[in-house]
Amino acid sequence: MSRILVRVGEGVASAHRNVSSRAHGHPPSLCDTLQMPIPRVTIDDGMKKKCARVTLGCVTAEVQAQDAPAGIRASIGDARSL
Amino acid sequence: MATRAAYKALGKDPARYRGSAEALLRRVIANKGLPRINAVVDVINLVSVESRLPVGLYDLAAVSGDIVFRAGRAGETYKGIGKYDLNLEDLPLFADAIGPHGSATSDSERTMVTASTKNIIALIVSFGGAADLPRWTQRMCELLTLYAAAQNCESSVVS
Repeated sequence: MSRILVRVGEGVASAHRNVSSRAHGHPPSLCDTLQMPIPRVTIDDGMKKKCARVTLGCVTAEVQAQDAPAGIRASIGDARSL
Repeated sequence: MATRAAYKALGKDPARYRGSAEALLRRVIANKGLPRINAVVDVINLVSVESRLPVGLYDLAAVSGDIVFRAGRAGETYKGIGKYDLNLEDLPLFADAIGPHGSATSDSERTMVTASTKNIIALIVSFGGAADLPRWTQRMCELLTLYAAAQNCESSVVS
């Protein structure tokens, strides 16, 4: 298996695990879970120079991209009233 | 508003090249609703509308190497999802080892999420700072867990 790692590097200001990870008592490491290397994400210095407050929220997950269930369709419908 | 200001700062006309969140919001306001693709894409679009922030969504199996967020260079283009070739010059974009594959306006077909996608990376673009990002990454994980059977959802903030 490939080496799997959350490469946080210098550019990461903070990190937290989501609720589903916390629910199991001790958060699993990505090294034990995702079957895919996680790319390092950085912001180019030129971008930072022109847009000083630029920040990215990064989410990785294993998913099932099936048809949307009724619940999300209802939530999307609710979005019309935002 | 911060996204529009950033497009201007980078030299891109935000009235001609809209951030994806603004484009989705315009659909909602015009009573066209949000596009319904699959559970993952629908969740990301919903979070984009709720947060008013552009979100890039990519199939990790299609991403090559690391990802950098930068301004597009002269001559760079890609085929947007369901769209024409997008002129990427001066557009805020994501590029991997192969080249640009996503932007704050429209993502490319090369790394798009399909029904066979198993692992994803979603990148929320904030030009106004990090304050709200933990809230929105957590919201995304909650919805992905609820509607797309997400496991091992992890989040971080990059600045």
